[in-house]
Amino acid sequence: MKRLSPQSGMTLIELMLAIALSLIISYFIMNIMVTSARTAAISEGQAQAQETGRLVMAWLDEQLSVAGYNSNYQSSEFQAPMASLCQAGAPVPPANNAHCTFNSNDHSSGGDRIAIRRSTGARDGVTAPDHDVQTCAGEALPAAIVNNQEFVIDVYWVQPNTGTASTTDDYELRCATYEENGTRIADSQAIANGVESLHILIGVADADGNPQRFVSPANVTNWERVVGIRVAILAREFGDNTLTQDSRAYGLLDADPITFRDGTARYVQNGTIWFPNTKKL
Amino acid sequence: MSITKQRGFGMVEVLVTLGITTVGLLGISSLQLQSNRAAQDSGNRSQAVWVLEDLADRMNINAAGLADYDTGGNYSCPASAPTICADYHDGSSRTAVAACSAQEIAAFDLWDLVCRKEYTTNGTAIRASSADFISNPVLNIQVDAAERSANLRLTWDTRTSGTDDNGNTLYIIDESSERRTATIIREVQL
Repeated sequence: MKRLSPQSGMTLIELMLAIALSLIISYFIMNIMVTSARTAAISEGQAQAQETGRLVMAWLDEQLSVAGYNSNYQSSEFQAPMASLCQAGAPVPPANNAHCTFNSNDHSSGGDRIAIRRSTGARDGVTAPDHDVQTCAGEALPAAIVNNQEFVIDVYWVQPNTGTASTTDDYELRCATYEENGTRIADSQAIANGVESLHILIGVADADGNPQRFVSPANVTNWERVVGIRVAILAREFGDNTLTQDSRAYGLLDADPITFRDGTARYVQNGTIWFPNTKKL
Repeated sequence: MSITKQRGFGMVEVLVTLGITTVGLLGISSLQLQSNRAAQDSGNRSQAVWVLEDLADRMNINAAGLADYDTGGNYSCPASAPTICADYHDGSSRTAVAACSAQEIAAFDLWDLVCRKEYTTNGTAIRASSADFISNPVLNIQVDAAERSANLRLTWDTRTSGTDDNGNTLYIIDESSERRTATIIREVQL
């Protein structure tokens, strides 16, 4: 048998050096990994909030611009493009008789509510577009309403945070369609998640149809002279901890500013929506 | 069975490995930086699209004041706020406004869309308008009153660079002020 040569391992110095080096290298690698995970989370949170804001505003833009539409163009009857302000103690949608524009100065109940008036059914000899025979959520309207080209009222509101559901189910933008007499036509539908508050200003014009100012729904004196609406929504991400904990304040038009002390990514989306059907010819 | 003497890595090998790893790590971190900038720019871009959409609707509403929307070159924010034509909250109190003329509404709309209000509540800055979510927006509006059309441009600061599918430069680099900007243009017919 061959003689074994004495094994020579690493010296203590070599070992320590190797450990120190690998510590330094792995520190940098870990650092990059952690930052990258954090960056990805922040981008995703902000993207979710922005996406919600954009989606909701694009959808509202399309839905609200039909306000004041009258399919019976031979009728001389003029209908105000929006339902007037809620009386004190009016029911809250989706209850019946909640077909009114609601003003709130804060965000606790989800902010303001939009109620627009539009007619339904087909113009003479023209097939009605889907929107004119459907509720705001796309369900078919009853034939009795469509055939009479009756006016309906679409109400859009933000379901306030009840504190019971998860953040993905809460903070919903919802809508329901009402008959003029206050009967809700179909069940209300959720349109989007992640909306914390909604506030509006109403564009009012003088007797000649020239716009004068945008006012809080509470300050509208004549609902027949409404020419447009300005909408602001506060959108949030679905998670709740992507930014660093800090105090952040957001303002929606004339509402009280709202301050959060958390790490949730939020986004304010503003939009002005013109009611072309109110244009004086 | 023969046992060969164990040999470790040479110093040179270790250094080369370190070098290659470093280059790789640098690549990853610059990729991260790029993705950050791109995410920020896409946020700005979506906000910019909405600013122009909003502006077009405001011009439609205030058709009588159309000519007053012409900015004659780049719009610069006035030193003090113009007559405000929409109810607002400045962080401490709510104000209901008086009626405005068409000219006043046009001046207000431009200011409202792209100028920072600097409102605060209890010392925290309030983020409310598009100007608070987009970096340094600059409006440039040309109105053709006779044709009732307008050319709307919005430029903002960006930190990315690139070209589109046709090879056109998407971002203008202003060499004199070392700013990179991106622009979107919208033609509207009223």
